[in-house]
Amino acid sequence: MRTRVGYAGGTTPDPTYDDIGDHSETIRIEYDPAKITYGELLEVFWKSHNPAARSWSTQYRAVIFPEDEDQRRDAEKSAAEVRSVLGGRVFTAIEPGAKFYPAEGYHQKYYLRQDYILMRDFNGMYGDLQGFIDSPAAAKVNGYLAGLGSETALRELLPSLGLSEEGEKRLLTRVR
Amino acid sequence: MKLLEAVLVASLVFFSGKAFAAEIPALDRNVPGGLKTATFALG
Repeated sequence: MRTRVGYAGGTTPDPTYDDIGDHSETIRIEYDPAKITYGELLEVFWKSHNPAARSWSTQYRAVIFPEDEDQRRDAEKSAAEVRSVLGGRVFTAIEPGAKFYPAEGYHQKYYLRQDYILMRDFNGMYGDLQGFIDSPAAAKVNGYLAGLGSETALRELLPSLGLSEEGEKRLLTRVR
Repeated sequence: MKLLEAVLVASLVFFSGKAFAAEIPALDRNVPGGLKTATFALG
């Protein structure tokens, strides 16, 4: 799985953080459908925000951006289920066909970028920024640093992350 | 001055050795084909 943050949903050409225009801050997930389904990603999405709360700005809206007809149908179905459970209005939007603009490199893997020891490891693995941004290992480490995932799962994953001994100790310290 | 130079050189060797010893993680070497994308804004 890979992750990238960026902008989508607006009409402003080539948005940037300083000139986001009418776009919203967005995450694009590249996933293996053999390991996780779009429906399961939707479940995580619905649990990660309050769909009954109106968004207070275009930049920080809650939106599903379906990328094909199957995703659109799954998104509409899941929204209907959430609406039924809440018994009221759902403010989360569904907007098919939006173009995704990746954010500037310094916005990618935000939590990981705050950690000198772990960044030193990734700088050693990847000499270029794009390699780091595209790294599934960096996405995993960033998620653990954000407080997601258990220590048990991390210990299983640790040998595949390519970290130094110091980096592994550092990550375990941050996750406990 | 020579002592400073020696310390700097030693540091460079130490840090560059550490950096170059790092390999692409196994997780990143085994990315399967056929990945799909999903895009969300979370408010």
